[in-house]
Amino acid sequence: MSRHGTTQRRHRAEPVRGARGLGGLVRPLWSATGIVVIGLLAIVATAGGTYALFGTSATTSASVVTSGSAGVAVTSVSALDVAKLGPGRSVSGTFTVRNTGTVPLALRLTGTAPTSTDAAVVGELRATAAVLRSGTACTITTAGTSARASSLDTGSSWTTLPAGQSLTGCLVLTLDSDAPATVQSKSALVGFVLAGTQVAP
Amino acid sequence: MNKLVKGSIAAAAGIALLLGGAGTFALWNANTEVAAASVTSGTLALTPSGTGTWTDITNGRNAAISDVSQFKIVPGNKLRFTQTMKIDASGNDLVADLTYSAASITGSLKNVAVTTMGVSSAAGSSALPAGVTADTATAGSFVVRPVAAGSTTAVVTFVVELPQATDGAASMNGTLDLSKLTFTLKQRAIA
Repeated sequence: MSRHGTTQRRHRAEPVRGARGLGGLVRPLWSATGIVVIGLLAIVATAGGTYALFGTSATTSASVVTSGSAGVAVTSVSALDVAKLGPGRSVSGTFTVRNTGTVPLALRLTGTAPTSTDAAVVGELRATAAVLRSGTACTITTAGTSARASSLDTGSSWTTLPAGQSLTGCLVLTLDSDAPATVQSKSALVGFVLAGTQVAP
Repeated sequence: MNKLVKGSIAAAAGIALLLGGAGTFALWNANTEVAAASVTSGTLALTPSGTGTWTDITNGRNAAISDVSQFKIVPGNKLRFTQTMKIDASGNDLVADLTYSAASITGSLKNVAVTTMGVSSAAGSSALPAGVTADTATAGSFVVRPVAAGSTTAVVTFVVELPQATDGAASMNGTLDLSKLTFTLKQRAIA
């Protein structure tokens, strides 16, 4: 192979014997390059923010909202002197109700069903419930919502107690004038439930 | 050294030279610049304007609340937080969803209170701002598209309600922390 011929073949960019060996070396460079390029593209494609859609946010200081509470407590229940109860006679007593929550409450007083052992006695009792106004006393003649003790129900509009306020309630128990002698010296559990419901805003 | 060896050495040297001459075996190439002009990207931004305010809207009221931290919400109450915002939106194919982040709300009342987002062009108005429409697919969400001016002003409202039927045990003495309430504007993928 002449030196001149080798030069000519080189200009035509045709592989010559020596170049063929080089061509064998050139092809892997392309392949390698191609792989590198693809790899770079793959890395870019998976690199999070490069292809993210537009997005923005704004934080406002809207503060903290808190809720109130509802609670009622019954205290200072005076003892009813039931020993004085006889046919047609009455006894009276007071109790204090306090609104311990943060909302006004509509109060309702209801009697509870007697147990079987004292149903006969309770069945002869009549109960009267009233809210004592300032300056008034609770006596056996105090007027109010009246019914059989076990079925007493003042209704939900009995009275409204503002938050933090207290009231005095009056309870009068009367034994029927026609109560039979069989209820003498009998004891009975007379129960009442005072419920407070939030007044709707 | 014999001729064969000399020839091999010369060939090897020649090969080495050729390998070192990078452009010697390059294929023809040519390049030229094309003035294709510059391409600019659009914008999407959401910016609060001023301080938000609270109003008691229970049962049709419209009473301003100076300090909501002193307000004790109870079942039946409905309060509204109002915040003016500037929406910057530009882009030929830009469509974005305006909503709020539920994760930005915390507190024991989070799963008890009912929250609703609203958008209008001005306080007290029911009209939507330019470029904003209600999302028919998602209640309480809105869709933003660019307007000629590039930006629009939106009055965003956030209503908090404690339903009247809320169980007392679950809702008394609770909190709804909105101190990090976040509104978001996210572009939709181009269809």
